[in-house]
Formats: sequence, C-alpha cells, structure tokens
Amino acid sequence: MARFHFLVRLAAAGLCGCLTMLDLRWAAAEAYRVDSVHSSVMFRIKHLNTSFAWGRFNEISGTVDLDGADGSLDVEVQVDSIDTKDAKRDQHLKGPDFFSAKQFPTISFKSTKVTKTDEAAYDVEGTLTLHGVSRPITVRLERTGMNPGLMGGRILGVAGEFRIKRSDYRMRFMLAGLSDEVLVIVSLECAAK
Amino acid sequence: MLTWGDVWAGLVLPGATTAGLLVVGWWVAERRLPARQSRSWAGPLAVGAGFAAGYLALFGWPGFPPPDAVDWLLFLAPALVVVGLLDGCLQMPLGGRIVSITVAVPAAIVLLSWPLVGANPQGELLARLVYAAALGAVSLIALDALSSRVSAARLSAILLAVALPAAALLSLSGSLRYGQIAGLLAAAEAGALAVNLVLGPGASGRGTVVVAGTLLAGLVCSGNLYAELTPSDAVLLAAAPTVAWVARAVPPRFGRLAQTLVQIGLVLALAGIPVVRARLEYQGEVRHRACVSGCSRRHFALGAPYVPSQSEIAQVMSGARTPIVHGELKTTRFRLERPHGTKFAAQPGMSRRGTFKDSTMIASARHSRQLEFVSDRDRQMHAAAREVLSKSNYGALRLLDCRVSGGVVEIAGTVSSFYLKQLAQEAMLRLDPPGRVRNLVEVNDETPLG
Repeated sequence: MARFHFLVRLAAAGLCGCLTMLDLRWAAAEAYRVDSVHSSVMFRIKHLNTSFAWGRFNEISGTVDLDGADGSLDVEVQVDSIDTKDAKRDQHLKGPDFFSAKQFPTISFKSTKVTKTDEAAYDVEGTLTLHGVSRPITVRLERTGMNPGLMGGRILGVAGEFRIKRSDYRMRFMLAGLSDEVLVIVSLECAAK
Repeated sequence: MLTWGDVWAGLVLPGATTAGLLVVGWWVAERRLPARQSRSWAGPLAVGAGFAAGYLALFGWPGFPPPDAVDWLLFLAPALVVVGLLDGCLQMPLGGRIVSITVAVPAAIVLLSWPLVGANPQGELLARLVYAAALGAVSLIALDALSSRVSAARLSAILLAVALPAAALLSLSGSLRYGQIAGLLAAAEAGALAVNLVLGPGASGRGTVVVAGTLLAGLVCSGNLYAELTPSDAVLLAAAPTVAWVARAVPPRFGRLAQTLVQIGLVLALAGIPVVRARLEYQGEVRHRACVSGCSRRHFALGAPYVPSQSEIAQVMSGARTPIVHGELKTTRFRLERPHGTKFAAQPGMSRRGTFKDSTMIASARHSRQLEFVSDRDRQMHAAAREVLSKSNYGALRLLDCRVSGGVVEIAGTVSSFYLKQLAQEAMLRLDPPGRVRNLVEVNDETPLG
C-alpha cells in the first residue's frame, strides 16, 4: 500500500513538473508590458576623462515578446524623466545642448530581429532613435527571471547593456569634457499582458 | 568647456572668412566707386559665408533635412545671402526690402519651430510665433531702413552690439550651443567691422541686415522655444536694433563720433538688460544651491523654495522630523520616488495632504502664521519686535522670525555672521515694553542675504 501511495505521489509530482514546464514555455512566449516602476534605464558617461557620472530615466514603457514566433522588443523612454541627482544638471541635459527634450521627447528602441543565443540569452537587433537620429544597434539581453507576480499573472525580467557614441546621434556638445562613449544599462521587469 | 578648437572654429574662422571676402569684394568692385553708389555683393556674402564656415567647423554637417531644428540656420544662411545679394547689387527700394524681410523672417521662424508646430499646433504657440515673426520683421525693417543712412562700419557695430549680448544671454539661458551660434554671428560682424573701419565707407554694409538679422531673429526664437530664454528677454533682444534710430536725434554739432557712440551704446544697453538680469538670476541660483545643501530649516524660515533630500523626506514620513520650523507651508508639491501614489498624511504645520509621485519634494513657507498671545503685553512686544526687525538696514535681520510668550522674546532664523546675530539681540533689548530675549538665531556664512 505504501508503495502504491509513493507511486501515486511520484506520478503527481511528475505531472505537476511537466505542467509547470509547459506553463513556463507558454509563459515565455507571451507578450509582456514593461513595468515602469520596477524597470531601470541607466547611463554612465565619463566626466573630464576622470570619473564616471551616472544618470537614469524614470519613465519607461514598452512591450517585450522575446520567445514569440516573431520575437520583439519595443521600449520607449521619456527624456523629460531624466534624473542625475541634480535638478540644474537635469535641466541642462533636457535642453538643446544635449537631449533637446522639447524637440525629441522620447528615446525609443524597436527591434527588427531577436535571436535566442542561449537558454536565457538573446541578441536583439533593432533601431535606436535618439535625438532625432535612428541607428541600428544590437543589444545582448539576458533573461534574469520569470515568476508569478504578486498581483497575479507572470512577470519577466530581462537585463542587458550596450555602448553608444553620442556623436553618432548628433549630440556633439562638450565632447572635450564629457566622453563620446556612453554605457547604457537596461533592466526591465515586465508583466504579462 | 572652451577649447582652442572652439576658439578657432567659433571666432577666428568666421571672422577671418568674413573679413577676407569683404576685402576681395572691395578690391574687385568697390574701390573705384563713390561711397553712396556702392553696389556691394560682398557684404551679405561675407557675413553668410563666415557664419556657415564657422557653423560647419563647430558642429559638422547636420545632414539634410536636419533632425535638429536649429541646424536649419545653416541652410537658411545661403538663401538669405541670395536675398542680400539682390538688395546689394540691385539697390532695391525700401518697399522691396520690406517685402523680402517680411517673407524671410516668418519663413525662418516656421522652419525653426516646425518640430513643435508640426507635432502639436496649439493656438497659444501659434500666437507666440506670429508675434515673434511680426516683432522680428518690424525690428529688421527699422534696421534696414537705417542701413542706407549710416556707414557700413556703424551698421556692423550695431549688429555686433546685438549679437554679443545675444550670445551671452543664450548661454545663460540653458544652451551654450545656441550661445556659440550667436557667437558665430558676432565673430562674423566683428570681422566685417574691422574691414569696414579700415577700408572706409566704400565697403558697403547693404544687404547684410537681412542675413545677420534674420539668422539672429531665428536663433532668439529657437532660444525661447527650445531653451529657457524668457519671452520678455527675447523681446528686448529683438527690439534692441530699433533704438539705433533714437540716436539720430543727437544734434549734428556733437559730431558723428558722438552720434555713433550714442547709437551703439543705446543698442548695447537695451540688449544688455536681459543679460544682466539672466546673470543675476544665475548667480542667485548658484548661491541658492550652495545654501540648500544640508539646511532645510533656514530655507523654510526664509520662505524660499527648498528641495529636501530623500533621507529628509523619509524622516518627514516617519514623523521623526517636522519640516516647518518657522512659518507655515504655503504651497506643497510632494513627489517621492517610490512607492508611487503613497498617501502622505499632513504633518503639524503643513497646510494640506500631499501625494508622493516622483522623486523630489518642493515646498515653500511664509510668515503669515496666525499667532496666539497669552496677554496684550505679549502682543505689544511682538508688534514692537516685528517693527524693529522690519526697519533694519540688514536684509537678514528683516527676515528673522520672532515669537513672544510670557514676556520672553524669541528670535530665530539664520544670519551670515555673529555680528548680525549680536545686532539682532541688541535690537530686541531696546523694545518697548522691554522683555527678556532668547536668541535662537543661527550663524551660517552661506546665507544668501547676509
């Protein structure tokens, strides 16, 4: 009898495991919406060739569907939400010398091709539009987690980083004082639609 | 950060290009003609080419159509040169020049404002642009009418007297880049002035008004639209060239030099007003920022806007800190990074509840707190103390707060020196009716009002 109960429990556990895996596979192919509160887009730039200054954008939106048939990643950032821990500097960054937020209120990335390179890694090719200039870039993204959310539904985490040259986007002001190369770090938490 | 490359590309190149082309123009066409019969093609060409050369050297080729609206200035320059050449070579009558300016200025403003107008054509924005176009056109017509009555050197000096303050003002208004662009025009006009002074009246300035003036008008409009140039400063700058007419009222017996100096001085004075104002505001901001760091109580006491740190907000939320020390919260805008939408219970002294939304809290205080006195004597003492403080010659003493309770006068606030603190104490000792003094004034040498 005990042996029977053990087999039943084993079968139940196996079934649960299979269902969970199926669920995860199904969930991975879902489309997700970026959760602005738990996502970050940060940047790092070298100041006077001496130290790194950091900043972030607080308003992020978009959709992520990395495992779908036509994988996609569309992210949009509001330039006006820039935050470098100094209001006056933020104001300057929003001005015509840098982002020109009134002319170009958003920065966007729109994928053109998603390639799964590993179990939890993707190469996302797409177009980054910044300061009115669109250029193709490739971002290597890592899936950092996928779990049930606190409010129901599933949540997905992806993160990655890439480097751009701001002069490529016609942001050439103060190249002597602020480095041309900017490191952008992205961490997105997305909730299933 | 100004580099030698910036100096070369932004000052030397436009100035030298303008000067070189003017010399060539004078050598080819002008030197044999009497001054008033000048049919110069070199004036507008030199200024336009100097500006374009500096622009390309400083910012590079922007592509066509340029994504950044202000880069249209580079493409506007050759078109304006053509208009200027027509004026310079054909000696257009005033009516023709009015038409060309009336077309050129609005066209430039439409091009430069297109990203905003095309995306969201609001009535207010359109009205602002119409006003800017009308003001710019009227100002340039006035200057153009003056250009046939003054020498080329004086015209270059007037344009330089507008371009230089424009460069300073735009730099102080949130965009060093726009300041650099205005600097290109100033450098080109400086080159023209140098050549015109040397070569005399034969080197005509005719036709340069439509080039330099329209570019400057467009730049000022861009400063207002995309940077932080205020409308009043933009109006003063745009109207500055027109006051050059006033100097023509100077009697001829004072000589041409006096008239020239008055003319340029007036233009420089009017264009300089917004620069001085912007400079003072900038200095005030720098001092305010220095003062804000690490001191919230003083700012609430002074009634100045204050942006506390995240840790201070956390202290206020937990009840460990009461944000208002002297005075009452007048306006509140609470914003905290997270959690979004958290309700914030009003603390003692705050006027209303707030909701945390974003990353900072901004508040200001005033001194209109309703005071309660236990006796008429206290009320009289408070009135006397307030009168003494408000009549003080020292601004910091006038901002001190005072309370009276049980015959004890309590003064509080911040001053920049122990001397001022002592002055405040002695002022309180001479009150009628007299009372004991409790001096809670803090001394901090970063206090903006001394």
